[in-house]
Amino acid sequence: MSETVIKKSFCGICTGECPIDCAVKDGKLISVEASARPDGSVGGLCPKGAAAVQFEYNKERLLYPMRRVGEKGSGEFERISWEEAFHEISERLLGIREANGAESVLFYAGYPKWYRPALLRFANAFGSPNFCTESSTCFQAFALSWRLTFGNHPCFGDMRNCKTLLIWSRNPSLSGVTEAPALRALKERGAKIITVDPRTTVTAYESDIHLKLIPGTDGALALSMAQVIIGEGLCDDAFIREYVHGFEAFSEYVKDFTPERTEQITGVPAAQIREAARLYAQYKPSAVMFSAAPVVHNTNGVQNYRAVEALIAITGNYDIEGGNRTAPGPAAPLNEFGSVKRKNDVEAIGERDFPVWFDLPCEEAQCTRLADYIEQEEPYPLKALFAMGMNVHMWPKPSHLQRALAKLDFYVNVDLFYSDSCRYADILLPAQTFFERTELMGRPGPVLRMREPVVEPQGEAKNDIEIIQELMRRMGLSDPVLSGSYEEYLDYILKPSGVSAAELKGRPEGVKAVNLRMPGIKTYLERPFATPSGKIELYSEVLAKHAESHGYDPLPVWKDYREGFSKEEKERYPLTLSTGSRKPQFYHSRTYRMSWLKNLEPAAQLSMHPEDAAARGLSEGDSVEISSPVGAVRAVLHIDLSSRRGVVNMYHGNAEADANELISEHYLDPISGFPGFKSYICEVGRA
Amino acid sequence: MQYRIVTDEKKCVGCFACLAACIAAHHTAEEETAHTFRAIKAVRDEKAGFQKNVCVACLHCGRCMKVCLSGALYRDEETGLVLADREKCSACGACVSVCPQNVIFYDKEGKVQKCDGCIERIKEGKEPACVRNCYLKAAKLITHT
Repeated sequence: MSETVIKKSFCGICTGECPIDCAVKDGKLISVEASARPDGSVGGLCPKGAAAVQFEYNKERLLYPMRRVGEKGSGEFERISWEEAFHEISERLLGIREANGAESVLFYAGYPKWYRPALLRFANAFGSPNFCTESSTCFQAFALSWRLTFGNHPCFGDMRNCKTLLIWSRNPSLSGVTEAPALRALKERGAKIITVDPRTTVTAYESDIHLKLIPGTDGALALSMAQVIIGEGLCDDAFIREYVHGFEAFSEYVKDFTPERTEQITGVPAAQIREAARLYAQYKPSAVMFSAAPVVHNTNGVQNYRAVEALIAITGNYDIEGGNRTAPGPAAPLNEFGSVKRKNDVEAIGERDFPVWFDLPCEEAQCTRLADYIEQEEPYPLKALFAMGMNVHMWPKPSHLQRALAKLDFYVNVDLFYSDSCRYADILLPAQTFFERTELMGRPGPVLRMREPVVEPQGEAKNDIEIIQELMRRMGLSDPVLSGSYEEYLDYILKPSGVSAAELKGRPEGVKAVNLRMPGIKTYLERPFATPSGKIELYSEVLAKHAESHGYDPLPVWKDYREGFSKEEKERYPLTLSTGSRKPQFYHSRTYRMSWLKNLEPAAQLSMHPEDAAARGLSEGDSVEISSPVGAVRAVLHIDLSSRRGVVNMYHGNAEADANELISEHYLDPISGFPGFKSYICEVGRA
Repeated sequence: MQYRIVTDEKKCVGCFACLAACIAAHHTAEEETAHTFRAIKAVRDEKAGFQKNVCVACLHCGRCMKVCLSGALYRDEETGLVLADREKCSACGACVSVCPQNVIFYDKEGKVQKCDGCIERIKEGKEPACVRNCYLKAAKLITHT
């Protein structure tokens, strides 16, 4: 028996990278707990991190390469060697390329995100334009809305220096281990907080103003705030004159959005809309805290967030200290993430439906309609899928995608676990967990860190990027930076920072970059905005280009998703269904398989306002059936006073009770292709 | 030193980190049915239309100990923590009925189980697992006189 040793690492269940102490004894991970930060303080962990030993030692771990032996979907696999797996995958993919063209092979990256640039390089070298990621339903639509408006990467709110913080549909109390204490500290120093959320979360409850809107009405609410700001002369006129494109048309458009009329649309009292607009515009600097998905999970999502972004533009809170900053602090420059270009000489999937993705460009194809593209051979036959971390539960109507996957000639999935997205695969490859692999940490900042293995890989699990490198080698595909060793690739990524991978080894506290990109403000003084007009585009020239062909409106217009349903549908399904708002113990699908977390509360839990429950004769803990125009799912009822009346919430990703099974795969934002996960219709009754 | 573990219900957001940390501190990954010695409690502000979960724990107040006739519950002299000696438990249920936090449980064999304050960690100079992982500093180890 050996001594227990503490190895320092970073949690990798989500992308938070919280510092952790891993207790290891006899080569086995015994426990994981919050580690002290370099300044000695202990930040804490969320329940996922605290239970992380069950992530490593999980009976669903994939341990060996496996080949399908039974019918597709039968779940019958046999163990094969890596040699056999590499050989078969290389032969099959090259054969399909020969017969059907490179574009018939799709490359897909799910969670986590660290290997994405390498997989994109693989797709490029193979010759396929079809590199897709789970960003087809998460984050990218927000990034896209921002890019349409400002031309750059989303600028996050400067929480340290703002006087007013406008939190637009985010709940850091449960989704941000470091953000939650920072928010409390901000309040203590006297900043004002406005929170927009359909639920009275702890974040909303502790705010100065809580705008408790009906889900999906964010655009109308933001336009009304703009109406107040413009109408009361609270704009930054000098900034608008110099830097804003389309202000005249915008201010004309918002005239109809009086707080009184908007109260009817959003359910937010007119007086509160005025109060919030005045506070944001006057108690400056003001920052907006965005979230990755809630607002853009609506059929008018991109335009709704563009309306919010317009508030930053018309008040001059862009790229100032305390506003939304382009570079809030010093950062180490790195190659790779976000800088690899997608091969685009052949039409990709989603290009006809969602041209804005490709105009900006997002450097990935749009695959929300993947099931249709496979079944209808649109825009051409799709024959194979090479996926890493495939998760059908990220799509609306996952069962449809499962059926479509069964139609592929060849499907490989590299995964940590035998998930139900593995069921229709032909070959499964075991990936290493974050406890087992070497990886560069991705959080922006001046300090570079490397995650190093704390335990040996289980079974024959391999590092995702080494799997990609080996396949490329065998297929004779070359790439300027992936053809060398894994460490050489890490050195390439680190190069602009002036630090090497070897220097990061054994330094969990990190190493400060030699070369730093320094923070800046008002960068627009030096260079124009990267939009067609060179200004902030309230009137988007990119959207205007597709106005006729796709019906896009250049202004951030409000379109009511409720008008898309018939009167009969609305009568039959009177409740609004919102899926996927963060619960602390779950992260998409990956932690349902950890029993300690799964058993904390009923995993398939539906939250409902007490009055809605009373009207249906339902009580806490009742077994209920949720029905929608496209499906039915069973859940356990949780009565939650914080819910908005008429709105029910359920977390997604649960294979045993998939909330997204209730949402139509055709219920999409026509600009981004994002599903309207946060605002569909349903009814709930006793099961 | 005499210790107590408290939860600041105002600070707590109900993230369950302490519950998961509690299970992890007392069990191996393979013990799938393991449960926490802490509990989830709903608190409401009817006027504000607000409800949240808070994660509560054994206060080591000793009420259970006072009603225990079999001597299965006792206070550790060195730390002041109330501990359970499962062998002595007669499963009478008296402790459960008086616990103000609802954090006394019976194991599969019907023997008493409760928070031990992570006594081994405390003796090593570390804070209990729940306190260690709480990012809003709602779970606290305090000294009691």
